[in-house]
Amino acid sequence: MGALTRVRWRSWGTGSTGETVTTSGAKLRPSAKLAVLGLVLQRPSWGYELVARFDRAFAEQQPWPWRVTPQAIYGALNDLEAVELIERIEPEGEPRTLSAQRNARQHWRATAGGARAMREWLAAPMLSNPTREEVLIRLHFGADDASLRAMLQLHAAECLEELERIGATPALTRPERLVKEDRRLAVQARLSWIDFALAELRGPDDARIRPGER
Amino acid sequence: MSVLALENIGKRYRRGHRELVALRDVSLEIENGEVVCVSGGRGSGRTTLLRIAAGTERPDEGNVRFAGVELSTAADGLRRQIAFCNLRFLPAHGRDACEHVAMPLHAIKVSHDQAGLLAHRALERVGAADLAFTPAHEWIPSEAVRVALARAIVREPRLLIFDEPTIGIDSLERDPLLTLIQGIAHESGIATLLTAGDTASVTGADRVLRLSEGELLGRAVPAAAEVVELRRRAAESSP
Repeated sequence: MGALTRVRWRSWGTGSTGETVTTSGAKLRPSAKLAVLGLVLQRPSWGYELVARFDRAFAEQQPWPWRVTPQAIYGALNDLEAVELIERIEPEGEPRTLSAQRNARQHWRATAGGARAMREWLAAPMLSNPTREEVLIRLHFGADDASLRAMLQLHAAECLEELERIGATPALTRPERLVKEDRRLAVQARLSWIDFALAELRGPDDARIRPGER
Repeated sequence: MSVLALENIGKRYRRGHRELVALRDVSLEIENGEVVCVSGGRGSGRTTLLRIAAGTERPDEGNVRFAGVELSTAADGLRRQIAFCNLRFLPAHGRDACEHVAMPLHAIKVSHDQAGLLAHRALERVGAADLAFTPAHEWIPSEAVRVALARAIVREPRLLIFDEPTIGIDSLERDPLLTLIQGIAHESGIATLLTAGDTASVTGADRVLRLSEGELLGRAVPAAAEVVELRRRAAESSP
């Protein structure tokens, strides 16, 4: 069993792959496949129901909707089954007629390996330049406030490490300065979002000093 | 041993019936010659953190240790080894850079001539020797930073606290100034705590942290390998 590793993408100006290699060797990236695994983990479902649940969870999310086609959901189910992260649930009893057999809904559930892989993916830190899909999946499947808080703290640590790398990089030419400033401001935006999210988790009852108050 | 060690600092203020939290369980250690940058938005607790680190304000919870000594009980001589640098401390109209830089030396009874000499040296070190006899109202913002830095280092402090060194500084001049601060910190083994409202001061920082609603995020202590490197550098730079 290898240790949990996060595939890092260090080059500036490119998005994080957000890929995590779990202890079982499964490679998980923030994609429809991972979202489907999360949905199946929440409760066993059949294909069409998963399409509807995906839409409710992600495609109808304003202001940042994430839409995928039903084919992508069915494709994700097949891929997840192939790597044994989910499995089919055999229907109880034999359908009495051929047509009943044809119409029986195929249910899927997560395997123990699937549950572990999802848990490990969620526990890996979100890098400083996550994709929309990664943010949405983490926010949707982060179990509770404590998990979200831990996720935000890890994410902040990644952002701060990237700022240290940015700060240590000399930028002597104009293009270098522009690229450096681009990355710095992008990471600064992530940190501002983390401030906002931590304040949101803390709630209105926990009084804070507002600017100008002393 | 860290030069500055903040241990589980908590600070609250009362406003009417409300108790407002400025810092929550903040811990931070800074080594000799290490540059630490703490960023945070308005109301994040940055100013409170600086005041507590400088010993001008006492925390409600936790301890502040400077050079291994509890700061609140430290002798004046030890407390003078902390330099607090803030661009709002501008000299009176008409005073030149040399006079401004020499002022902290007058406070410890250094002779006028000796203070002038040390002030000139400090100005040379920050690349502002040509400002020695230029009055304050003629300085541009980046020159004001250099003079403020010279004033802060003229007494050879062990800890330099610099509040928003890059505020109002042109982006092209920002990195050279930060690199200068880092160079002085590394050469002289001065533990340096920089703060900024945004992340513009990260250049040259050995460690970057974030204050978010009174909570300090990031590495509260340097990694073991960094400590070894900082101590090696400090040993090399010491006479």
